[in-house]
Amino acid sequence: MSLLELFGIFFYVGLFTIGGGQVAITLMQQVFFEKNLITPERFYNMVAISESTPGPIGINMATYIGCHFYGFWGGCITTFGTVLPSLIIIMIIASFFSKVQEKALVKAAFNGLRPAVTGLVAVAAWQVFKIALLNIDAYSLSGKFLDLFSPISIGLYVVMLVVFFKTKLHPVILVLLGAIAGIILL
Amino acid sequence: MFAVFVKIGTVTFGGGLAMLPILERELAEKRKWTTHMDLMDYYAVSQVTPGIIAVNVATFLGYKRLGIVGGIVTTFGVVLPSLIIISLIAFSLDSIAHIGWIQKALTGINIAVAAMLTKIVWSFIKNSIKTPKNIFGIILVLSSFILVTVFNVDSAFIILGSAVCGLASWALMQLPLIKKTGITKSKTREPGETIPFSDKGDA
Repeated sequence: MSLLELFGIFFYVGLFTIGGGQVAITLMQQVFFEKNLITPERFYNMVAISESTPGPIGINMATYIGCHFYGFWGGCITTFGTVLPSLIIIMIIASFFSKVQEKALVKAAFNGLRPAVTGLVAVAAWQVFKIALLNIDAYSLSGKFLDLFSPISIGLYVVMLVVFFKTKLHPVILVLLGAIAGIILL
Repeated sequence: MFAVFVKIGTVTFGGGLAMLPILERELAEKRKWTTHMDLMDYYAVSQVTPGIIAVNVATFLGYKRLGIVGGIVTTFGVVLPSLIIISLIAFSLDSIAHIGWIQKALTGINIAVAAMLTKIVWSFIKNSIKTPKNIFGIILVLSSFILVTVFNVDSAFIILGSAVCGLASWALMQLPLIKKTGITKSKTREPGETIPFSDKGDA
């Protein structure tokens, strides 16, 4: 596969990803499995690492696959391919957004959109909550309800919640504290 | 702006929505480059337009502040940490992510992110309950959450559907029958219309 082809594939992924990184991963999976370019084990390994390292999942995956084929510059090309559709489309929308924002119809639509976005943020919170705090593997093995929870994780979560609600601590500090607490306690 | 978005990219774990608490703090509270309301609108637009949500929001914010250059700068800022970190991992033969203490650190980070998102969700819900008669908003929050988690509905459909709900409630308000009854405008407003955005328009 040439660099240009790789760029084309990721431009396509960026263009057809609507609704977030999970969609991008599905698209990449279709492209790379169909052509037998990456083995499934390797691919899911990449997904796991992309989920647990800094940065948006979709971009992490794009970089990873680019690196897999062409090293660092491959990663640059695939990342650029993925963000290029966003750059073009969002700038076009942003350029007339403030003009239509005050129109009655647009306002009405956004009155529906805002609560829905709140719901979607709650979904994101729930997904992280599930991964971080619920031990679903142990629960499905033993069937015991109590196995679902790890007391240390729940304790850590409650402490962090109190800290974040009560203080003006910066999110970055909380992330660092989480890393340190994880190494010491878990 | 580039530095701010590099920072945001570095501390974002997971999807674009996990980026929201940091954007709120860095851009809305600390630097006043945007408002809570505008952020919500950008997220809504980013969900239905092509591209990774985090990148779309970054481009949107950059363009709004500094035009085309701003959009390009913030986009590259937000992807730079991914480029560096993933390249390093790819070259170290993927072994780093499986080391015990790094896995523990990542689990700890996930717990911190869960706590941060809980606070964000709480403040969003508080905002929508504060305005009286806002049953419309609460129903939308709950139904979008349930539709995605229980019924696996694509979030793009949720966004489109909720826009239609917003338009429908507005259209209902415009019905001549309601207008003719002579009740004051504020009383006939749909519950959802009490969201601050429309109040600004009435003033």
